[in-house]
Formats: sequence, C-alpha cells, structure tokens
Amino acid sequence: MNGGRWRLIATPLIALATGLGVGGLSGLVVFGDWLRPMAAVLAATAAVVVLARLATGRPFLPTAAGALAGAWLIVVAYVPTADGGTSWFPRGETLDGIRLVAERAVWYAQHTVAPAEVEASLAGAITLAVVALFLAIDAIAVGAGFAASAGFLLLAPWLPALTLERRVPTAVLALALAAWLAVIALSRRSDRGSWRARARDGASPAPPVAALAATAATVLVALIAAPLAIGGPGWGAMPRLTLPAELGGASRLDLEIDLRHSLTEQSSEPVLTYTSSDGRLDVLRVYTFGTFDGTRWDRDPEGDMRPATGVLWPEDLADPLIAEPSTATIAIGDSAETRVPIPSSPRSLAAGSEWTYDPSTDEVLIGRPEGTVGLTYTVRSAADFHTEDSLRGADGLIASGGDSAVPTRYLDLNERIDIEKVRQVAEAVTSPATDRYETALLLQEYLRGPNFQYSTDVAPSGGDAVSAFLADGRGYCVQFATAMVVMSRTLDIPARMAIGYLGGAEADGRYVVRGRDAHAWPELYFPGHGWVRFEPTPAVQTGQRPMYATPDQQDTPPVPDVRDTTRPTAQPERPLPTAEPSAAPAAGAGEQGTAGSWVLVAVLVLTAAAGTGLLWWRARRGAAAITDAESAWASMTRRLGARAGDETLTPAETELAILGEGPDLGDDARVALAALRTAVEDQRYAPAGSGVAADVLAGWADRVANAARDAEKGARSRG
Amino acid sequence: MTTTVPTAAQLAEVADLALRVRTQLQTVLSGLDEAVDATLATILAEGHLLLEDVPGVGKTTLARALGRALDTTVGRIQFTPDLLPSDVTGVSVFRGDEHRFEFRPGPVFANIVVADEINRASPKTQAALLESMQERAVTVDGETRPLPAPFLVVATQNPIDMEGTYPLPEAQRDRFMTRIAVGYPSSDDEIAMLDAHDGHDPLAEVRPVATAADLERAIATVRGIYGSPAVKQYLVDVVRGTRESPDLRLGASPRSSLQLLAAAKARAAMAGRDHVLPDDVKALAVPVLAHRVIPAAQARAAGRSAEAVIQDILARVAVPAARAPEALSRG
Repeated sequence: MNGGRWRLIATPLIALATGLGVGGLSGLVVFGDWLRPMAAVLAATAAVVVLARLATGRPFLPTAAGALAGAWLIVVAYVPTADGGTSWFPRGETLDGIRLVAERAVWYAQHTVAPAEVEASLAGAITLAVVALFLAIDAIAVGAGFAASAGFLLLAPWLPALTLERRVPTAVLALALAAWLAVIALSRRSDRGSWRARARDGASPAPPVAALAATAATVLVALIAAPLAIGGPGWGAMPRLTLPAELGGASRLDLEIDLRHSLTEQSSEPVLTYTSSDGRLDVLRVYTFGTFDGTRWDRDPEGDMRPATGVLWPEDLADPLIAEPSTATIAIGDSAETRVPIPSSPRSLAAGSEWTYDPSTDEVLIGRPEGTVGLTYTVRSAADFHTEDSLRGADGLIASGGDSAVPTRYLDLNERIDIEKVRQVAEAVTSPATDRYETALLLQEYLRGPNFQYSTDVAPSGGDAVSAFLADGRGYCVQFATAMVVMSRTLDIPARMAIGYLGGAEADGRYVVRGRDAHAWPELYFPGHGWVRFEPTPAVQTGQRPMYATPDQQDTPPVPDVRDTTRPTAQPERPLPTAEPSAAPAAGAGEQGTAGSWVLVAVLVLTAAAGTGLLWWRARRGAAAITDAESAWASMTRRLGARAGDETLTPAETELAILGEGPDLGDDARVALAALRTAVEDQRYAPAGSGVAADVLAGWADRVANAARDAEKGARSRG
Repeated sequence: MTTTVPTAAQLAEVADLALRVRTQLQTVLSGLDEAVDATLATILAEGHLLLEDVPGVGKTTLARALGRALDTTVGRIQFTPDLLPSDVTGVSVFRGDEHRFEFRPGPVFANIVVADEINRASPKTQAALLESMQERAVTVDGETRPLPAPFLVVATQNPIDMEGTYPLPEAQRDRFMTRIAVGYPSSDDEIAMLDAHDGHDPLAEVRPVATAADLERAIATVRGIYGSPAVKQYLVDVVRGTRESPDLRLGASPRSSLQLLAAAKARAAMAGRDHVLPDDVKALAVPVLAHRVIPAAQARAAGRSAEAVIQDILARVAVPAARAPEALSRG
C-alpha cells in the first residue's frame, strides 16, 4: 500500500472506532433508536472527509470540510425549526433553535437519572461530541500522520467508565481498539513501504515501533498515573458516578462511607413507603458503623444474634417501657438491603420471628437472599423514649462505669486522626457542659453553627478527614455525623455512625422515602438508656433535631440560630448532577480538587498533551512532507541531526559527513544515501530535475535515517 | 558561441579526455591531483593558468607534461629581465630576396604557451603576453594575427624570490582564470617521485593522448553545461562574500564570477555531469578567487592568507536548496 491510499481506509476505521466510543456511556444512557441518526451523521461526515482527502493533498483541509459538513448535518438532524419541522438550510432562527436544543440538553442531562432515556436534544449533544472527537482523531492520525497518539483521544469516551470500574461492553471496546490498531498498522506500513520487502532486501524488518511505543506509553500512564491518582488523598474528591449497583436492578445504600467522597447523584426513586399512626418517623435506620480509620467507616463484625422478637434494644428494657408506641407499616420497594430499616428508638417488630437481631450493632438482619426487596412489615416504636430528663439521668451510671457495657470499638480513635486537636476543639466547645447530655447538645449545635456549611463537595484531605472537615467546614451529613462521633469519642463518650433514611414526604396519606432521603447521623451512648440519635447536620439536608435534643429550654446553653428547624426534612429539590452524557467535561461538578495529586495528574496530562503536540508537530514537519527529493533530503538530514552537518554543506559533502561520522550504516543505507543525494542534486541543479517518485525517495530517506538510528543504538549498546 | 545542451556521448567524451590527460600527468606528478584537476578545468574553460609556488615543486614539469600530453603545439618562454615583447609575439623580418617583410611568429603562437617565471620580465614584456592572452590575437606592425585555438597560457612564478622581479599587478592577475599553488608533495608522493625519476626522465614517458581538435570539441561541450539558478545564486553569494568580508581589502570582480562559473562547468563536464553542482564551485573557489583578492592589513597581520579567508567564506555561505520553502509549507 503506498502513498495516500491508506488514509482513505483509515478514516472510516477511525469513524467506526469513535462511533463505538458511545459504548463507554453504557449504564449512563439507554441505547435505542437515537443511535441510528448518530451513526448516519458520523458516516456522512467521514465520507466528506474521505472525499475531501481525495480532492486535496493538504492535510487539514478535509478536517475543516468534515467539521462544516458535520455541523450542518447535526443542525439539520437535531435542531427543529420553529414549527417543529426540518430545515435543510440554516436560517436566522436556526441560531435560536441551537440555543434551545443546547439548553434543553443541559437541563435534561442534569435532571435525569442514569440510565437515561436519550431524548432528541441529548442525542444531538452526544452526536456533536462524537463527530468532534472523530474529526480530532482523524486530524491527528491521518492529517498529521500520527496514528498512535490519536489513541489517547480514542480512549477518552471510555475513560470515565474504565476508571470508575463501571461495566463496559467489552466486545465493543475490543472492536474499537482493534480498529485503532488497524489504523496504526496502516499508517506504519505506508511509512516504510512494505516491511516484508525490506526483509527480502536483507534489511531488518522493523516492527511498527511507534505503535508499540505509544501503546507502552498508554499502559505506563495507566499503570503509574492511575494508581497515583487513586492512592492520593484527592481521589475521593473526584466526582463519582454512583449508579444503581446492578443496572436496572434494585437500589442499595452505599456502604462505602468515605469522608473524602463528594456527594453526587442521588436517586429520586422511591425506596419504601409507610403509613404511620403518629405522623412522620424521624428516621429509619438500616446500618450502624463503629470502626473509623480516619477517612472511612467500616462495617463491624456481627455479634451474638437473637431472634428479632420482643423489644429490640441493646439495653434490657421492660416491654412496658414502650408505653405509647407509634405504629408504622412499612412497604419496601426495590431496595435490596441485608438489614431491616427500623426506627432509632426502642422498637419491636410484628413479623420479626424469622429475622435476627444483633444487639452489638443494633441491627435487624433478614435472611432472605433478595434482602429487603418487596418486604412489608409493621414496627412499633417508643418515639418519646428519650427525653431530656431521662438522658440527664444517665449521668449516675456513667460515673459507675456504665460505658463498659458497649464494645470498645465505639471509643476507639484511629491514630491517623489528630486526636489532640479534635479533643481541644471538642473540649472548648463543650466547656460549659455539666453532663453528657449537655455535652452532646453543644457538639450538635456547634456543628450546626455558623462555622459549618452544608455542601455536597468536600475539600480534599489526607488521612485525617475529620480534622480537614473541622478546618474547612464544608461537608454533608457523613462529615457532620462523623465529626460528632469522633469529637464525642475524644471526650470518652461512646459513639457510632448510623445510616438510613429520613422520614420522607407525605403523599396521599402515605409517606414516601426516596433514594435522596438517605442520611447519616451520629448516635451517642447513654448508659442505661442506649444509643441516642443526634442531628449535627445543618438544615439543608438533615432530619429535625430530635425532640430531646432541641435546645429550647432556658437552662441549656445559648446556641447560634441555625435556620429554620421546623421546615420539612426532605431535601429541597436541587439539580441532580448526573453523569455527563457527552465527552464534554462536567462543568462545576469536579472543581473542588486542588490537592497535590491532582496537580500531579494535571502535570501528567499536560505532559502527555505536550508530547502529543510535539510529536504531531514533528510528524507534520517530517514524514508527511515528503513530496520530492528536496523534502526527502530535508527529512533525512533532520532525522540525522548533527551527523548531517549544516546548510553550508553541499549534498555531496553532507553524504561524506554522514558516512564519515558515527558508526557504519551498512551497504543498503549507503546505496540509498547515494541515490537520494543524486536525486536531490538533480532536482536542485540539473536541467531536467529529478524523476524519482516520492514514495521511493521517502523509502531512501527512511532507510538512511533508520540505519543511522539502528547503528547508533548498536554502538551505544556495545559501548 | 555554441551553447547546445551536451549529449551524454559528448559528456562521456569530455570525461574520458580528462581521465586520459590526468593519467598522463599523474605519471609525472604524483599527489598533485587537485592541481591537475584545476589545470584541466582551466584548459576546458578556455582560461589561463598561473602556477605560483616556491621553486622545485614541479610547476614547470606540470606545464611541460601538459604540453606533451596534449598533442598540440607548445611554445615555451623563459622570462628574463631583458626579454623583449617581440621575443614573445614574434617579429617581422625583411626578406631581401623577396623584397618584403615576413612575420616570424614568436613562441606565443602555439596552443599551449608555457611562460616560465613570468614575474622576471619587465612589465612591458608581461603586458605583451597578457594582452595576447586577453585578445587571443597578436598585433604586430599594425596587423592583427589570431592565435591558434585552443590557446592556453601556463605561467609560473615564484612568490618568494622577490629580488629583481616585477610582480604582476592585480589587473594583470585577473587575466588568469586560476592560480594554483602546487605545494610540496607528501612523503609517499615524494618517494614515488624519486622512483619515477630514478634513472630516466619521466617526462619522456608522457604520451600525447588528446589532439587540439579533441580539446576544441571538449571546450564546446563545456560551454553547454547547465548552471541552475540555485547554483548561480550560490556562486554569487560566495563572490559577494569576498567583497563584504572585512578580512579582504579588495574583493573578487564580476569577471571572477564569470570565470568561476566557466571553470565549474568544466569540472562538471570532467565528471560526466551536464550540470554544475555547488561542489564544483566550492572546489574551484580558491583557485579562481584567491589571486584576485587582496587581504586586508589586519588579516595579513594575523597571518591569514587569501585562501584561508575564502575557505572561511565557503564555510559560512549556505548552499541554497531548490524550492525548499515551498516544500516545507506543504504539510
């Protein structure tokens, strides 16, 4: 295959590989009919590029033609006219149409939950991204002749899926990669002429070195940069796409509670509904956590189980203590948990005989393989079990060592936490307190105070996320709850982390709890009383303060006003930052990372980009420019560098310089050099010029330059 | 002048002639390849040759060997202070029996004129030779007589022994196409020379290998050699370099450009090429230019000869690449 013909084959291959890139959106969007117009636009754009390349020898004119054609086709296909029809020719109103479609696509992307049905505007955005990506890859791989580098761009649509360990259609990815490798192979073959022929001639059949080098570089970046980024403290700040565990399957609470993670998309799908005799439940707790390593919570080992009958509470309570129970009948929808959601006060289950209760973790386990999916059950709870008086009454038991009843993990502090600092803060905050109840209340109000701000984005931190949070003051419920737990522990109050759901919103007599009602809160231990929920998270996304923990009495310490505590607990509607459907970066979703590792990643990316640019520039100056003896000669002398002398040497002197300097090139290269020297002399100085074909000249230049490179390598390895 | 494009056969003929002559000369003068090549190029370019060097390095031998190798008429003039112009050009003598003057041609009437130690003669006599070199004709008693073609003057002079000499002025030196410094032979070449002279005269072994007609045809071929714009640009750059160099008080004249191109064409033809390369220009720049320029005082004080200055210029002037900018702009 010679000259430019490979380009005509490479472009469709690149279009194929780029089009397959939408496979990287698997799980984010629903594949359907919208793929067809996308493929059509892409194919038409590729055809325009190929035709333009047939018509012109200039490297980037086809890209420009393709861009024009692609833009026009996208406008025709995706931008309706004011009356809803299709216009083949852009008019003044088309601009408005483009703006409307773009706004619609952005809005839709923000307000939909993955996997999203792709409506027209979103399909237009995806098509635009795919076509732009195709043109960029084609310009680099075919226009500039640097096929291997283009792989970086080709992998771009797959990166989010691959780095987030989301499932991708492996076959599609493999096909895309195969197409890319074919492009590389084509480009290398044309560069060198046939390497089989070279082998026949006795020259070493060089493998496509550039392709191998680029692949190796990609793998190296993946192996070095990715672990660096993941291992670094800033990784958690990266926007995460939390998807339903199994696409289309049941939802599940994210048990990977890491303080470095920003809170991202939350589903608006209902998790469960319930009716209640006593109004909205404060919370429904599902899991508790006792072990904290400084950044993340770990599940605790199961303790001694007992059947989930009677009063479910770690402390021994007489059944009558639940004097005026409120009763709730809970129907769980598509939520597959291993623990049954229960209120945070002493409770009993009406249908709990086959379930087990773990007093050490205070969780109700369900043995079914499908977990809680479709479960309906009734729970009675003592909503008013905790009162200020009863909690203050626990102090006597604390003095007599009542805390020893709970496992020591609820007091453990990981050495990664700056314990002294946290304790100083906690002591300063709670200095007015006279008992554990007041202490807890002061901690809660401190965290709800003006120093802290609810934010789904968290500042990057190292191994001590709590100190970082106390300093930065931005976080969501996990940070607030964890901070209160850790501060309590520094004051020797046993404390644990609980996650579950807020009480939900009422609709038609039923309360509906949705995915976005998921919540985390601290529970502090009061001897003789049990685990008591507090609510340190500010009002944006929080439960109400429990009645017993609402500082409304005169004798409690004054606390700063912290917004309206009576407002509904349900999270106000806010845009759901879903996964970006197009290759465009998520504006605003990932702006929080400034830690060192991100600088490192940025440097790596910039280096890679600069390297690509440099190689592209060299490729543009080099191989692609061989059209005559003069350019072949220029290409060869440039690649030989100092060995070829400077511009004051005549071709013959240059030849002598090349043969005289450095290690021997071998007969093959000497012959090629002499032939190329004669050709360039003929072109410059002979009346008839040089009649040698460009690809032959390129072959000679390659042979000399490669021989020189190999000879030098050989000399180095021997030396 | 005939400037038809030379055919391959004509080129081969020139190359072959040059090779034959060169082989003959080398039997006498081993190791003087550059001098021999420059000499041949001068002959084929219709120039005149000034051999300048210390005594005893083979100037006269080269000149005589040349005369023998070419089957042409050779005139030899030993220049002395009392040599008269008529000793060079010839005189008209009265033939009493026929009652008329008869012209007796001087030694200048030959295809090759060897003028030994030209700087020993008086300026007047020098002028007579130099004028005939320029005019390729001799005017005696009002009658102009053409000199035979080809016509080549090979003058020698000794730059060291200045006493009693009349150095050629710049304007006169300009008449010579090339000045060649023969130089001392290398150790091996000198041994080879001793062997060659051992017991016999090597000059006697030099056989004529080309006739005057051969030479004329070759000269016509050389005129048709192609000098591309790129090579002319390079040549002019080099010549202009001598005028702009601060190391030279006097640069090379436009005539030098003409002569350099002519000599380069001859060298190209000797290699069987139908076009001039910058290499030809480079190889002949010093022989053609060095005797026409005058080093500036500071260069002389620094011991830099005209040859060294011209070599510097050659090392500085870029060899133009044809259509290079266009080739680069095309991606």
